[in-house]
Amino acid sequence: MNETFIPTLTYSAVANPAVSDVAQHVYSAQASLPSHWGVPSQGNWLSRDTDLTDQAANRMTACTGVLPSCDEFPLASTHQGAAFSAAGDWSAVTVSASANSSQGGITGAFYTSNRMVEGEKFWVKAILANGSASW
Amino acid sequence: MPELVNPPRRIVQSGSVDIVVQYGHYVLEAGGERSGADAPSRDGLLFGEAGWLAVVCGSDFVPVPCRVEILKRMPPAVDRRWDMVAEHDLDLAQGVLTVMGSQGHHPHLTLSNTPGVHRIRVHVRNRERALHIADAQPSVDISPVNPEEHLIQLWPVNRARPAETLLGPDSYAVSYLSGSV
Repeated sequence: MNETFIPTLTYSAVANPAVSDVAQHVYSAQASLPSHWGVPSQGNWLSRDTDLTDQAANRMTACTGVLPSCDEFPLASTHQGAAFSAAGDWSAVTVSASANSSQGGITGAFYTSNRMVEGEKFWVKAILANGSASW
Repeated sequence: MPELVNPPRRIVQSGSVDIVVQYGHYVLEAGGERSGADAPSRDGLLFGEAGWLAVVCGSDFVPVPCRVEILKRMPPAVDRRWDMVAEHDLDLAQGVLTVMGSQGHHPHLTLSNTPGVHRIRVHVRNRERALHIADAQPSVDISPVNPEEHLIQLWPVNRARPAETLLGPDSYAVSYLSGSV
């Protein structure tokens, strides 16, 4: 991958209505969290974490009590997940299982199509159903 | 580690593995590109494209015991001891099927057969129970006892067929499709 290029993971409720709940959550989290994770103008990229123990720790920190289907931001599959970020600098909400699986599919496709390996950086963009983008 | 077994005659190859579930599903990868614009599951169990198929789990992030069998031909009957059974076509363009987490990087089991379109039959049970047990026991070692079980069978076919639900839907699929989980 070109080291100067940082790809963008997009959750678009316009292109994929099933992911609307997730897009809304990311949109709000990017606006409100102190680090504004994944917004290029703020400079705080996310980076891929392929370690399953790290991912489980992120999930446990963010999602305990968030039932039945939890969406966390920054993503559990990043080094900026809840277990590795300051309290108050991550967010978790309940979303539908279908939104969660759609998000996982989009994220997985992004990782594989961009051949994202451990530690690689990326930005995140959320697009709401009305077309509003987080950046 | 996945367990590959010496198969009886009707089975070409088989294996058993605890699949790491991510975002409530895992993927049967057959070499196809993933567009990134996933259509939601229409039956509450399967979604995908020509070269990959995702299986929706009751567990959100807890491993699910799964057995995969490549068969010589279609089984004679649907096993009704499962909660839900559904079929979908999958093109094994290179003759290889990899069972993996939805986020890539974690292939769990790789099986091979002759290249070409295969019919995939997915059997599941206890997804509704797994939903509640897994969410009540988040753990770093991601190893709570999971009551959910999956059996995946596939065999080569000469012509494509639409996706079909053979048994069910189970209670989890009903909840999934209604948006109540």
